[in-house]
Amino acid sequence: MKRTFPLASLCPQAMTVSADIVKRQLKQKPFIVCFIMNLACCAVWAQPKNAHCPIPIHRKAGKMTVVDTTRIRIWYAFNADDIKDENTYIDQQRLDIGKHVTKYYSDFYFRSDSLKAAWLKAHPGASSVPNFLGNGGKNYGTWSEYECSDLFISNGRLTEYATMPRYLDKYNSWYTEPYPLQQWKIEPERQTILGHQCQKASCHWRGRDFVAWFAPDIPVQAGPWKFGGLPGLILKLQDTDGVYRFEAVQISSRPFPISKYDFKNYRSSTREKVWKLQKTFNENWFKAADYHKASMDAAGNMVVGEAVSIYTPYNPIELE
Amino acid sequence: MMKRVIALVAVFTAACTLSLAQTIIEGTVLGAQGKAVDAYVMVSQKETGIIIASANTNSKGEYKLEIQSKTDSLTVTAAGMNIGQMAKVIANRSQRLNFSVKEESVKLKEVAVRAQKIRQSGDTLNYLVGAYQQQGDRVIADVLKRMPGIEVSDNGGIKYNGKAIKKFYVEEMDLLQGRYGLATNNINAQDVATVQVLENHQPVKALQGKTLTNDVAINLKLKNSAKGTLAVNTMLGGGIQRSGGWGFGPHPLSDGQNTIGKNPLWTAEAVSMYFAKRRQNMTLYKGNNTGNDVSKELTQHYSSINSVNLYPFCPTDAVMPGGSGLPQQRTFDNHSHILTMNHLEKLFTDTEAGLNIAYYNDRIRCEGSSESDHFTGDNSRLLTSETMTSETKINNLNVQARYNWNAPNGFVANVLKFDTHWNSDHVEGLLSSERTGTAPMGYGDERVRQHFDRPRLSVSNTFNTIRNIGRHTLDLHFSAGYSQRPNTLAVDIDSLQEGTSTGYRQDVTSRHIAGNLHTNYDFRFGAFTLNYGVMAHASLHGIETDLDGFEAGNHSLRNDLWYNTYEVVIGQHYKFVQGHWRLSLGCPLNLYTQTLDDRIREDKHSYVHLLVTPNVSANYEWCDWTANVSANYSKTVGDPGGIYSGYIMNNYRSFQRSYVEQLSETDRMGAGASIGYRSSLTATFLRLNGSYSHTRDNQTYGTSYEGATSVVQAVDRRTEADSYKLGFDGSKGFDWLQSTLRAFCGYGYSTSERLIGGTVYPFHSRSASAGAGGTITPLPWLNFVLSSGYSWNISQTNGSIDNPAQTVRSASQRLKVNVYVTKQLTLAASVEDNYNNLTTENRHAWFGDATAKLKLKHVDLELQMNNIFDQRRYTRVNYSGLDIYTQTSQLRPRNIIGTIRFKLL
Repeated sequence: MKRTFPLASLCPQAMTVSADIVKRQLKQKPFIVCFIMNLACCAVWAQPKNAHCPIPIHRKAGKMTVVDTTRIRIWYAFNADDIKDENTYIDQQRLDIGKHVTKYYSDFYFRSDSLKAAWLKAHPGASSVPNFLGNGGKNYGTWSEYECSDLFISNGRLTEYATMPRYLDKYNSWYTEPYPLQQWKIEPERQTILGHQCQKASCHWRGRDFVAWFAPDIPVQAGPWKFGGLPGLILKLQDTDGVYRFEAVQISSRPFPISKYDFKNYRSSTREKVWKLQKTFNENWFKAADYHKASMDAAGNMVVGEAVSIYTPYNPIELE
Repeated sequence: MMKRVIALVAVFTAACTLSLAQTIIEGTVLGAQGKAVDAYVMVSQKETGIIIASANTNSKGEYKLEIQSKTDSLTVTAAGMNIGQMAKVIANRSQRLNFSVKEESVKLKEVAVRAQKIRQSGDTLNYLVGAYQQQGDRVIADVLKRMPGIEVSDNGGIKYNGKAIKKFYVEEMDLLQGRYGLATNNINAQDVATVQVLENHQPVKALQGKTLTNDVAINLKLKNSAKGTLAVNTMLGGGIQRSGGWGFGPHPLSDGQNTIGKNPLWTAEAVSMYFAKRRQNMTLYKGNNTGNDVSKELTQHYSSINSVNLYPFCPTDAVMPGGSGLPQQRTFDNHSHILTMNHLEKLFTDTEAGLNIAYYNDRIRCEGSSESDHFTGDNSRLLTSETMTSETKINNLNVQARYNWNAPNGFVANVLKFDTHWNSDHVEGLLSSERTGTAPMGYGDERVRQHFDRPRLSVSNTFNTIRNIGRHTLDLHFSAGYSQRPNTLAVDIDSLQEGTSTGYRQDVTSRHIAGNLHTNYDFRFGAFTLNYGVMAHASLHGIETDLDGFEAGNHSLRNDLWYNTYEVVIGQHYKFVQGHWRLSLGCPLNLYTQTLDDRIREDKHSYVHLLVTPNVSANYEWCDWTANVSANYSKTVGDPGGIYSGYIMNNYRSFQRSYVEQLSETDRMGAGASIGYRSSLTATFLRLNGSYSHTRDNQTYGTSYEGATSVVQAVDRRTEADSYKLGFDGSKGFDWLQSTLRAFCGYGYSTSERLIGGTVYPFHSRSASAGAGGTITPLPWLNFVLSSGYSWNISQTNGSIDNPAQTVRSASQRLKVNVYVTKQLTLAASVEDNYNNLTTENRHAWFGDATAKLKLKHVDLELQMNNIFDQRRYTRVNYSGLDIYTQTSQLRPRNIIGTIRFKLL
C-alpha cells in the first residue's frame, strides 16, 4: 500500500526542498561546500533523537492491567539541557520499582496517553485525536525507541515491548534477555545527587563506555533504560561521548500502581531483530513506511507521487 | 637521587604486595525462617564508606566476595529492596559472615529537582502549594494570590480565569457553605498540599456526566499531618497610635474633624479546626479595634442552594459620611467581634448534615465631610457641604442548618436559614447649602441629627430533590420564607436661622412573604437534552409607612398597601452537547399576575401579563480554548418601589413618591461573548469578553429641587439606556525568578437620560481602565509585588452650557517588597500612591506600611507599622456628568501593632 499525503501536511517536505537548495549551492561556491560538510559532520554526530519518524497514533495494545504497586518511583531526565526545566528534556522517564516487577517507560508518553484517553472521553464524537497532549519535551511527536518501548524486569529477565513508529505498527514486538546486563567496575569517586551520596562505576557495554553514579543507600539494583546490577540505585548515567544522558530528578516512595498494557498483538522476537528494525526505522522511516509524495493532477484529484527517502544517520545507545 | 628512586620503588612494591593480599568473605543472607531472600552484599572501607565490591546472593542465599584492600576494617552490608540494609563491621581477613535479616520495605524522602507547579488531569488543575509558597506566607489566601489564573479580590472572593468560583471544598466537603474566607484566611498554607481547581464542576453526583456546567470550584487537599487532628491557633496583640486619645468607651460624636481610632489598640483571635474523614469543624473568634474588617471573612460568596430571595421593601436610609474607596483599615474606627461555628457531620457515605452559625458585633465610627455640587436645572446649581460623624452599631446573627444526601442515583437537600440583624446608625452633622446661578440663595447652616433603627428578621426553608429516572432526571425544588423590617428614621434639623427648625420621622414596617416551587424534568436523547419545568412563585409585600414633618400639599404622607405577585412559569430549555460544542436555548413562558391593594387610596387593582423571556447560549471548547456567546431578553412589570403614592423620606434631603397610574415596565436585552485560554503547562491564562445591554423603561424618575431638598417623582415618560463593555484579563506564571505577571484592561460606554426640573438631559459616559501587576523574586531572599491600575472616566450631559465634559483620571500604584532576612525573619514594606486629577489638594495620596515577622519554633511574632507617612485626611472627587461629589475621610494616624501568634493545640 502506498502512503500519500498532501504536501503541506508533511513537514519533512521542507527538508527535501532545502536539500535541493543545498545541491544548487554546492555547484556555486566551494567555501559553502566546506561549511555544509562541517554541518554534515555535526549531523553525523547524531543526537539520540533526530529521526523523522512520527509517533504511532495509538499504541496497538489492549487495556491496561495493574501488575504491581511501586515501592519507589524515580523520574529521570533524558538528555536535559536544563535539569530544572522539563521542556528542555528529550523525555522524562520513570522507573517504577514494585515488589516483584520493575518497569521503565516514558513519563511524557504515558501522560500523553492518559490525556488522550481523557480527551476522548470528553469528546466522544471526535473523529481524530490530537497527536500528542501535555508536555512532550524537545522534538515531541516524533518517535524514538527510548520513548516508545516499555521495559519490564522481573525474575532476572528484562523484557522490551517495542512499539514502532506510525504505519509500522505491524512490526511491534517483544523479546526477553537475562538481567542485569552490564559488568561494572566500581570506582572511588563520589558526588551527591538529589541528596544521596553516590559513587561512580563504569562499564563497557554494547560498543560504548558508560559512567554511572549509584546511591548505595537505596538498596535497588536498577537504573535508567537497561542499566542495573550495581549495589544501589543508579541516579545518573551517561556514555563517555556524552550522547546519552540520564539523571534522576525526583524520587517518591508513595504507592503508585504499576500498569501494563495487554501486549498480545506484539510479536515475539529477538533483541537482534528488534535492534535492526529500530535502527532501520530511525535511519530512513520514509523508505521503511513506503512513503510517497502526494500531488494534485489537472482535474484536482490526489495522485500518488514519487517515493520519499530521507536518510538520517543514527547513533543508537546500543551500538551492537 | 638514585637512593630516592630505589626507596620509592621499594615502597611501591610493598604497597602492591600488600594490596594484592586478597580477602574472601562468604556466607549467607537468610530471612526470618531461614529462607533465601532477594539481596546483595556490598563491602566498603570502614573509614571512608567507599564501596569496593559487591556480589549478589544465589537462590540458596549464599554469596562470595573477593576483595583486595589494605584497610584494617571493612563494613559489609546486606541490602535489598525488601530487607532494607543491614551492616556489619569486620576485620579485613577472610571469614564467613552470615546475615539474618528481617523483611522491611525501603522508605525514602520525597525529593525532586523541580516539581511541576501546576498539573492537569482532565478537568482538574492541581497547583502545588509548596511551589508558590514564600517565606512570609502564613495562610492559604497568601499563596492563592500568587497562583497564576487565580485571583483573590479584596472582599476575599476567588476568581479562576475571570470566573467567580461556585463551590469551595476542604477535602471535598463544603463545610463553610460559601463563607470560604474563613478557610482561606485561617487554614495554614503549610497544611495544604495542593489547591485543586475543578472546571465544569457539577456538585450533584446524580447529574455528573449528564448535565454539564461551566462552573468552577476549588478544593483544598490537606497534607496527611493536618487531617484528623484538632488544631487551635491563637493570636493576641496590642498597639498604640499617634493621636486619638486614650480609653475604651465610645467616642463622643464630634464635628467630623477628629482622628480615627483610640488608644490602646488591641486585636485577638482564636481559631479551632478539625478536618477528618467524617467530620469537619471550624470555630473561631476574631476581634479588634485596629480597623481590620474581620466581618469580610463572613461574606457568603455563594449559596449552596437557591433559597427564596427575601427583600422587605425599605427605601429609607441615613446620610452617612461617604466611603473614600480606601480600605476600611484606614478609615474605620471599629470595635469588631466575630464568632462563628461551622460543623459538618458525614452521617453515611453520601449523607451529611451541617450547622453554620455566625455572629457579628461591631461599633463603627466614621468621620468625614462631603461636598456635592448638584445641577438643578436652568443652569443653576445647588452646593451643599456637610461634615459628619457617624456611629453604626451592628448585631447580626445568622444560623443555617442543612441536610444533604448526594448519591450517584439521587440528591436531597434541605436548608433552614434564620437571619436577624439588629443594626442602627446615628449621624451628627453640620450642613450648609446654597444655590448658585440665576436665582442665587443661601440656605445657611443647619445642624442635623439622624437616627436610623433598622432591625430585620428573616426565616426561610428550602428543599430540593433530584432523581434519575432511567436516562432522564426529575428535579423538584421548594422554598418559602418570611422577612420583616420595622424601621424608623428620625431626623432633627436645627437651623441656625431662628424659627426654621424641623424634625422628620419616617416609620416603615415592611413585610415580605415569598415562596416558590419548581419542578423540572430532563429528557435525554443522544446529544439533546430537553428540559421542561413548571414553576410557581408567590411574593407578597406588605408596606406600611408614615412620614411626619414634611409638607406635601395634597399628597399623602402615609402608605398602607399590599403588593402581591403570583407567577406561573412554564419552563422549556433545550440543550445540545456534542464534540466541542454545547448549545442551549431557553424560552420560559410566564403568566404574571399582580394585585395592588392600596388601603389609603382605597384602590384595588389586579394586572395580568404574559411574559416571554428567551435566552440562548453557545459554548465551544477546544483543547485549552473556550468560547462563549449568549443573549437574553427579559421583562419586569412593576416593583414595590414603583407603586406607592404617599411620600416616603429616602433621606432627609430627598423625598419620593413613585406612583403613576400604571405599573412600571422594564425591558432588558443583553448579549455577550467571551473567549478564554488556559494552559496549565505554560501557566498562561487569558480571557477576553464583551457585552451589550439595552434597557427600556416606560417611566422616568424626575428630580426637582425645593430649596435644598430634592423631590423625586415617577413620570409617565419612556426612557432608554444602552451600555457597551469590553474587557480583558490575563496572567502568566514563569519559572524564571518565580515570577507571575497579570494584566487587565476594560472599556465601557453608556448612554442614558436624566430628568431634572422637568427637562430631559441626555447623558453619555465613557470609562476605560487598564492595569498590570506581578511578582518577581530576583534573589532568593528578595521578592517584589507590584500592582498598578489606571482608570479614565469621561461623562457628559448634553444641553447644559456650563457642563462641559470632564475627565476623571485616577490611578493607584502599589509596590510591596518582601525581604527574607533569615529563614525566620521576614521584613515587608509597601508603598501605595492613590491619584485623582480632580482633587485640589493632595492629588497623590501616599501611604506606607511595614511589617516584620519573626517565626520562632512555637510562636510567630509580628510587628506592623501602618500609615508611616501619617496621612490624616483623604479626599476624592467624582463627577457624574452633572453632579460633582467630593468626599473627605478622616484617617487613622500612624500606628504600631505587635502581635503574637501561637498554637494552643
